[in-house]
Amino acid sequence: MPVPYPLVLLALALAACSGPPAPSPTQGDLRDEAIERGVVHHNRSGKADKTTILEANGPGVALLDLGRDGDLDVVFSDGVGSLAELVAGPGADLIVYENDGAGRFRRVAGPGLCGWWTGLAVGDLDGDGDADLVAGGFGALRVLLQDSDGTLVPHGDLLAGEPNLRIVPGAPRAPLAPPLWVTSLALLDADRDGALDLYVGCYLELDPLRPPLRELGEGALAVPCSWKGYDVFCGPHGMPPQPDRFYRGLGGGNFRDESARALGGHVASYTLALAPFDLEGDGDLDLYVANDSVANLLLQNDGQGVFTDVAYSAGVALSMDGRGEAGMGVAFGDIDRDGDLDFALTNFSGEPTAVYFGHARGFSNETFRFGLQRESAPLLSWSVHLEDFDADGELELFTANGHVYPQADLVDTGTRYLQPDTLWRLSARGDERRLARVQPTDARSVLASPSGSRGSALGDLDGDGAPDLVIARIDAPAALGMNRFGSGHRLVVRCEGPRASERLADGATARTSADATGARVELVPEGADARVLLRTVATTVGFQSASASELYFGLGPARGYARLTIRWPSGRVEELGAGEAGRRLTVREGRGIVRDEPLR
Amino acid sequence: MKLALAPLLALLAALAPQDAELAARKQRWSELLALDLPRAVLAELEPQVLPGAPLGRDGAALALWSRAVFATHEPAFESAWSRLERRDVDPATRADLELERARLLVESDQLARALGALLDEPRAPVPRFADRPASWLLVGRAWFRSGEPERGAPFLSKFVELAPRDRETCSALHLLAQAALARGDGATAQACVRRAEELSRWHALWNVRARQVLEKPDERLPRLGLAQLWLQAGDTRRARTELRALLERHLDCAPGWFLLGEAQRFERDLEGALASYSKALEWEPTHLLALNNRATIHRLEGRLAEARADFERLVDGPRGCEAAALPALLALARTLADLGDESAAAQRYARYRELGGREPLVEVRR
Repeated sequence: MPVPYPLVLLALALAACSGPPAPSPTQGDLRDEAIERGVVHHNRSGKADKTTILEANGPGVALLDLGRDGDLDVVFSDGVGSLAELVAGPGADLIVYENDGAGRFRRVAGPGLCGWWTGLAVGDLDGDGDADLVAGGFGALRVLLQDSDGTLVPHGDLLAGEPNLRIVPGAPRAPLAPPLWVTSLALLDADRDGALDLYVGCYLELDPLRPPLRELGEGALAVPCSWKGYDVFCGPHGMPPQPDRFYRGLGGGNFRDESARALGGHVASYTLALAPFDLEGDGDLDLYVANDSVANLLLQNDGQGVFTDVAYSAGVALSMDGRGEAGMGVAFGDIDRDGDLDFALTNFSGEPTAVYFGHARGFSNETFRFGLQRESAPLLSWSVHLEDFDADGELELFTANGHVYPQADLVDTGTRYLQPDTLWRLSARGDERRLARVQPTDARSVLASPSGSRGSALGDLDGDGAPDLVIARIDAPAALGMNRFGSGHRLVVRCEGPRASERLADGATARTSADATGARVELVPEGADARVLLRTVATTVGFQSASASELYFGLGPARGYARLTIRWPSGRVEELGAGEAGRRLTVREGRGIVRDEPLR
Repeated sequence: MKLALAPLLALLAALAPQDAELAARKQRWSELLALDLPRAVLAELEPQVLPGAPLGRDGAALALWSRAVFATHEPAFESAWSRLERRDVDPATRADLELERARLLVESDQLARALGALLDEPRAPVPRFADRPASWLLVGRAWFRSGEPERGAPFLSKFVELAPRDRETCSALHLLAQAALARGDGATAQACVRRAEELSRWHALWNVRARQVLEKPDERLPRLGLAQLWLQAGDTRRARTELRALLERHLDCAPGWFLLGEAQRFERDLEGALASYSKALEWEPTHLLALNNRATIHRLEGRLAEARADFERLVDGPRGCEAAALPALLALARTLADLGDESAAAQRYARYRELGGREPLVEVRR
């Protein structure tokens, strides 16, 4: 008997607004403790009126352990007061804060760079067991290796042979020579030779001496740069995009430009964000490339570091409406705990933060079933994380927000220049999709006050096993969102591959890099909820930022795990059996757990 | 009877231009929204849709107002929805208002409610307001967003059929391509993608040209480009509108006269086209396309002497030896033959063959 239509509609409506599974009501917050913890960095990114697009994109941030003392230190990218100031010099250095182990910081000397810095990537470039850094900028791409006392030392300039693409602050510069504008960077071992390779996301051609102002084109065919009828800075549309690059890692922190081989057929498309992940479960890392205002790329790796774009056939190139949206940030995680990686993609205001679920064949767009169009469309979001902040076993969605146009504060724009960051609890079981916005508990929450957030990095800053957030904010002080969520049980897993010195004689055809980038860790909590928790080692996440390489598991009420499995990029699979929560485990490929410490 | 109808007809005649003028205004507001200029729409439209104002009961105007509010106000959904809460809407435009409500529901993730508003029963193959393409689009989109593409695809196919060049047709084609890919039908997917890309390029170009015209209404090139786009889309009425505006400002714009001639030719207004081509040639005597098209129409109309003169000007001119002039050379030969000047016809035809032409002198009627 057919079901009466009103009843069907009622059932649909009820399914949309009630019923299991309700997102966890766990209380908590991300409390901004930057000042009392000693992080007092105030970003500079041009002038407040933002007359050029460079000034609006803002900074990134990276977390890495400097000095091998087991805690996470912070590096911010920074700009200067204007394009003219950059050209005149001296430019900005990277800003480095050292952690005392308890989450209290002090600023230490930077590496002595000069430039306008944007994207940061972290990985063990020389295979010596500590984390190194790649810094991208407007006209800059530098490799920095960590020395034995924890100092980042400039090692290589990847644009050294291309003077037209570099900006050397203070040096004479000819007009009509736009430098390479690097946005996000990703370190991944594309050919699994044990040495990290570098994917460089590039944005557009902007002449620092003659940037377009108010209109693009000339004479009768000039087009005003406007948004909702207000004059704004020009771009990206109408300005030439720059093609991305791929540098093959040679070990020792050295790279060779192999863009032509790796990215044949690549179409330049205003790259803003990158996320390496294993698309088809074949053990090598593929790459999602979020582009501004045009189709995104899903670069499938053939295992030798040659990439082919399969985004359209996988359903992740365009919005569901077939439009190229302004992809700003991307993060992967297994939201529905089915063992396939899903991802979140942030976009411009008027466009939703999108959520895609991974399946055996491509992805499904779950944005609207979660209700994210209505929730997120007013926001312009940049960095993004899918992380279990409250340790209940389900991932939350964090977005760092803030508009690019100061004009957003003028009348009738429907949005604001400064916007609060947002955190949503997600729940997905079967066909049910639920979303609940986490409300700030007080004014100190990073979710409370409107700001201009851009890059963000996630990691446990104070050693309690809970992921905290460092948020880089444009023209403003950075925030430290200390995790003050819940009482669920936690486990932290650090993965390590063989050091470069150990790899020399192993004869393997596929190797894991020293920092285990790409390792896939599956954990089954003990108890009733035996659905797998999946994490992968990938520091590149969000926008222009690098998060900690250690993995954070929330076990909810479970006091331990029944099974912990690691699939190393080399192809080795290690089953580590059961264990207790409340620990920080360091696992070395082939050697099992080499360190087991209680969480603080 | 004739006497009784006269006042009614007079009234209708008086109303018709008003309707046309109102339709043009609505079109303009709709296009301003497409150009991301919602504040301009608010400024023009808001005073006219308040209760008691001239368009206060016009569902289509209220829908446009609501859409402009959605793009400019916080919270978007509630602000826009409140603009649609009118009970005394003119019944003839009620569907516009209902469809805008459904659109808002779709855009705010209230997919079940949207489908309830658009379908009499969940498996209904035809939506309410089926004469409006938007109704098919919204049902299709709501099903796709609900994760049920197989239900949505027939609605989107119908939308594409009803509105082949609509801005939203790109979106519908994309969804149809994704659905085709999901069922392994690569050929259909590829066809949809190609069509969507072509249409999307057209709309992107239209955006640029329309914006240039708005910014610099007195410049020639943007209006010419816009008219050309309309011609490309087969909308000669819109092309003529742009060209009239252009020629009012620049009487000497030969390319404008030529395009106007093209629009008239597509509309089978051959006399109008001849006049426009002549104007183009008046201002630019070497406008080869105008000359060629005028000659062709002359010949079609049986004005062989005029056709001969134009074709001769064309092929004896400085570019008469170029490959592009070959069809004109053949047409001249045929015209001369029609005029009974066999020797001249043979001479021209020989030249045509010499330059690589392969068509016979005597036209083969297909």
